[in-house]
Amino acid sequence: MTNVIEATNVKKLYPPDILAIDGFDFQMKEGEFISLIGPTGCGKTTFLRIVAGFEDIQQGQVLFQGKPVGAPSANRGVIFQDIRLFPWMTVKDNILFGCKSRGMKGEDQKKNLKETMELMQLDNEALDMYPDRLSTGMRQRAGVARVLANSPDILLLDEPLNSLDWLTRDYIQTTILKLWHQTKRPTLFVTHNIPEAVFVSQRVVVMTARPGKEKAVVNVDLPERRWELRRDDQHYLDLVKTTSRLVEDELSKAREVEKVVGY
Amino acid sequence: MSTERLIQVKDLDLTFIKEGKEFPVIKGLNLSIGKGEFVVLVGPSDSGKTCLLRLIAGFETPTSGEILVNGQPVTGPDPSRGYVFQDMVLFPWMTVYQNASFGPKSRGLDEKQVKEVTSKWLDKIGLTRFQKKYLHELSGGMQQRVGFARVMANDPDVLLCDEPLGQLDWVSRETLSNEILQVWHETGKTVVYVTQAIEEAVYVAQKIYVFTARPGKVAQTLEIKLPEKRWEDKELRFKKEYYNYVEQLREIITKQGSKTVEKGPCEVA
Amino acid sequence: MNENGKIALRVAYPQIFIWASVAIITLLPDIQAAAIETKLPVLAFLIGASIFLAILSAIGATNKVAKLRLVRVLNFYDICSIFLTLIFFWELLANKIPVLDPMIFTCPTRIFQALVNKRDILFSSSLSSMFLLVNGYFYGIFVGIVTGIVVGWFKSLFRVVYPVAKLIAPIPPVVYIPFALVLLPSVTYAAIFIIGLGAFWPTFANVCFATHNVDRRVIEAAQMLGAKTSTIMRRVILPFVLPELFAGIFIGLILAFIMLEVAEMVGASSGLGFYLLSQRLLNHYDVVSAIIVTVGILVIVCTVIFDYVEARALRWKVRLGA
Repeated sequence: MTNVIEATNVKKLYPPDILAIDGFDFQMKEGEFISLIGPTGCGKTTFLRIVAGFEDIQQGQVLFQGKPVGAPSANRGVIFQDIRLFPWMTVKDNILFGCKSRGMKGEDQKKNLKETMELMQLDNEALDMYPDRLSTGMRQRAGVARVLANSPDILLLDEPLNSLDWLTRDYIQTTILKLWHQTKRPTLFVTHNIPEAVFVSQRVVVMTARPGKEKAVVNVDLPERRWELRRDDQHYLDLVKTTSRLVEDELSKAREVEKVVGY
Repeated sequence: MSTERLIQVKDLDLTFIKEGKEFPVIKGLNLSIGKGEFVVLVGPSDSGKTCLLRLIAGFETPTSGEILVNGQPVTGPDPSRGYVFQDMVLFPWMTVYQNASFGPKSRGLDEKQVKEVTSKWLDKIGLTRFQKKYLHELSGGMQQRVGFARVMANDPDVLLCDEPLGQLDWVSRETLSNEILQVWHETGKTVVYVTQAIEEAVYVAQKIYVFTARPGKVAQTLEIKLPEKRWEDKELRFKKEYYNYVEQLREIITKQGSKTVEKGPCEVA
Repeated sequence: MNENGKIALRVAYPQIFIWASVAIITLLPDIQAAAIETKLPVLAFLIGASIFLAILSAIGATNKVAKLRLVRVLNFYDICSIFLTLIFFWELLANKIPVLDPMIFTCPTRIFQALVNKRDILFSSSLSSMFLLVNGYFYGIFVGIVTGIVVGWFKSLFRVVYPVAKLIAPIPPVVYIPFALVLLPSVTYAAIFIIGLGAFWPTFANVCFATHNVDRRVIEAAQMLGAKTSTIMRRVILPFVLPELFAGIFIGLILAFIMLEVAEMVGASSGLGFYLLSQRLLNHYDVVSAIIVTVGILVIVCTVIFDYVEARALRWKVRLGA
């Protein structure tokens, strides 16, 4: 069975002289939930953007479902850290934007809307509001709904829970875990939050400091119904410790690479 | 530790009026914080915890009720109540040294005193090497250190921190929270700290006040009985006793659950 | 075509047009009746330019430091290309092929000749004009900045003054010239006043609006640190609104130049505007063109100085990208 993502020897250069990724290999099998972590500037977000189709590469290749990654498309759904709802559209229009653009029929649109609404706990009041008036938590719920409404083949999450309040963060995290458990849709989760990375995924890929390569892979053998796991579970804490040590080790090297001073 | 009450909040009400609608953010809040305590406020995003912090700072005025700091009612911003912002809010046209010395200089201290107190705090916080640099040359963690240095240079009675580590990456947060604890331990200042990250809340706090959803009141108090010099235990963050508190806090907050639809008046972004 | 080939073309382009221009100027006959006294000025300019660009190319090809600034240097070459292409076609169509009316469209050869012949009076006129401009401009922006900050800060003032200002600002300062001439002691004062007024409005509008919209948390931070209102205005608000301020005073510079020419044409007895008017009345279009070129040079010089000052003042602003 082909891997969902097959990346070999990827090199990404931002002209004139920022080498973000160099010699990076990555595989994601069907149905996997993988977290990608590393020190600031390691290229984890860059790699996600390459898979999404927003960036090109200078060397190597990245295959999605066996074919080279092309332009961005609805089958690779991206949930952004800064959400990026269209401020001139209501929440409802935002959610249905992808469906409308692809010419989906009216009843199918309504069905999608209802499903994602229930999933993200958006009520009718929120649907008719403009993004500017919403709390950040609500906006990200809408952002996630917008992507789910397109039924993508893979979910690419770029630090989606960073700026959220605890309750929304907990809720979205749980929802994504339950959704994954149900559909086994491949998911790539980029984050700098180490305990979170371990908590949600089956495998954690740790990248080196810039230029990014694979440093280590941590297999997370925790129960599948992850949302039921208590955070003071000893095995979980041991995995968090192992992963933290790997990142801290890389961080001292990152400090020399980053042009900014301090840490 | 002294049981003297440094901050007293009495029957506090805060209602915003936006577009003709009333937004009761805080209603009948009573709270007192002892001198030298490290208190963390957590709760749903619209619970008014940030508003409370801003009220103590003097940036907002209550609709009714009063706040006393050191027995004096709060009437406006003052150097004795230092405030550290989530997105730093520093002065980018000034160097690190100029930012840190802004407070002492504005208060009218003479050259020598300004230099002395600024250098002392830049040194304590590890910024001496960078004092001539401009802010855009520094990482987020370093910038927030400047945020702390400029407040501490004024020798405040209380340190009000509004999600100070919110913009930083994970490892910077760990490092900086250790440094905050060390400064607190050394100076004995009172700290009132707001955060969304419950792991961070448990790590730094002696006492956590969990707020209800809007209009905010204190729903529950959680005492954190972890060692005082937490930064000395490098394994603390992976220990069961630490995460046990995290789980407890998680349960308490989840019970306060609310789903804010509209953006609150004190929300930053 | 590969990268190096493209670069070579951009470098060669100006030279091609320089020498093409030299060729048509020296080889083709002039079509006008009136003889051109001397072609030396224009040829000197073109050949001088050619040598300058050649030296620049030599430095660029060998020096490592220059290679890093490649983009900027190539942009400069492109700008030169535009000018030189213009000169070439202008000379061709106004002087060598009967397309443009040579009386109205003075060819570059004549323009350069006029620039050289009349250089003394052009220089003294420039000094006179610049005296008025500098005085008017700096008075105008100073008043604009101070009033802008004050009105922007006090909410009650802002609510009253800003809407009124928005109504009055679009009125061209030209309209006030008759009043200025009558009320002020001399024509010089009147000219400075009108120029200042031109610079004042965009400065005031920008600074006022930017001050009104300052991120309130920066003010809170300054207050929390113990600063009084006057300190805040000087050390916090002014630097904070600097970007918008520069945008405003740049427009002010453009308007000041416009007001300068108008003011000189209406009342002055010296300066480039006055000179331009008198030459136009005498139908000396070649001198008129030379004056226009002179004004253009002054504007370019002022803009370059302005950009330099702005870059230095705003060097603390984060530049996105590497």
